[in-house]
Amino acid sequence: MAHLADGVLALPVVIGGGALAVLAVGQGLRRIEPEHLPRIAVLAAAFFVASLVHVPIGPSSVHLLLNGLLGIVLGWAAMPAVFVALLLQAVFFGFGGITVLGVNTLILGLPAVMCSYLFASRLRQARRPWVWGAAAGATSVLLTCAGVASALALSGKAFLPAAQLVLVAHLPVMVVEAVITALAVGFLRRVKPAVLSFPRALARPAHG
Amino acid sequence: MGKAWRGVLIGAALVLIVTEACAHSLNLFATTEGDVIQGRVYFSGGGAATGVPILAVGADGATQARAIATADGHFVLTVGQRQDYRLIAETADGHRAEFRIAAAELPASLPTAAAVHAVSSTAPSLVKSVAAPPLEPPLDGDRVPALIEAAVARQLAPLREQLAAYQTETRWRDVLGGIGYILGLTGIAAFLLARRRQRPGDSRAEGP
Repeated sequence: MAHLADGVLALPVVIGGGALAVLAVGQGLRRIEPEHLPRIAVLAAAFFVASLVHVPIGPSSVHLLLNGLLGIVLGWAAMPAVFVALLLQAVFFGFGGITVLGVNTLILGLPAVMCSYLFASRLRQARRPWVWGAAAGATSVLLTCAGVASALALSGKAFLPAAQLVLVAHLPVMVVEAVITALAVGFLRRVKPAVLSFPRALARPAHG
Repeated sequence: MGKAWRGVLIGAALVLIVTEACAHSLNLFATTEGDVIQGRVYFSGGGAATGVPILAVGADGATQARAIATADGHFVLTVGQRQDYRLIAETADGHRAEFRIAAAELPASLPTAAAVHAVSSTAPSLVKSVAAPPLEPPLDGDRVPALIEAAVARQLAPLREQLAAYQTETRWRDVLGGIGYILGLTGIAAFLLARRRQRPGDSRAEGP
């Protein structure tokens, strides 16, 4: 369950997570260039809608994340996109709490940025970009699960049971995400490879 | 321009998926019959939350009763005091739902004093009718109000449950509203970034 609800986490975690999220989203905002705004908007909307596709698994319910694709295409700009989409999900759908918005932004946004660092440059040059796309999709879900388990653990819940539950529940999501990200990446590489070169802006912020 | 059309197509495909998809925050709904609180935990969209622990917390913060949801999400709690209760359901991976039972919904025959033994129920099954006492040949005046209350509660329970489910449903207008906000914020960001470009010496903060 990637969206944590209000009241689940301890107060220090909520406040610390909020502060870190402000920093991370600020980093993302500094690296936005105007010509990239349309793809940021499209991917934020896709992320917003993606978590409506849900799969009930045993005692829990999981949903698509798409943060791997977000990271590959947007790099650090994935952070503000995730933040806005999460805020709208909380307001419109009631997913995730408002107080834990910062923590949720970190849990879903940082894996996107990490996947960008790990896979984006390989995607640009590889002969088979879909392999790296699949890896990014699976890795982002894995990192998100690790983030959820860590947030719960820091709030005093037992880490291993929570981690196991979250991980097992998200295994189908990992598979689906790998497939979707691989398809999307292969498609983009063929049709408009310039989209995948955006994370070069990771080197330095667009505006000082 | 081609990229924009593909973005629209992908967006439309995701939107079509939404018509099949379900929202997924944890919801809890409960009604009383006599001193028994029975209800259901479910993920909004309809999926039952199996095996989720439910606590009945009194006004003093102490847990008065606990139960585990059955395979179809139902649970039964018996309480011994007439006070406000908060029913709290929490899964191990961060879903949480609350529901309030007012003291007025519980029978006046229950004691309000603190000298009460807490009753816990850990093997619930759905109980259709618990509080209605067996009819005895002389229907004295004391029994009739209780019977009427029980009957009305039984009739109202499905209606209230439907209302609660309706309130938590995800509707089209929520999806479109969220996407609208994303597009609007993107537009504002584009405007602000364009203005910043025209005034390179301006140190005003950028972005939404």
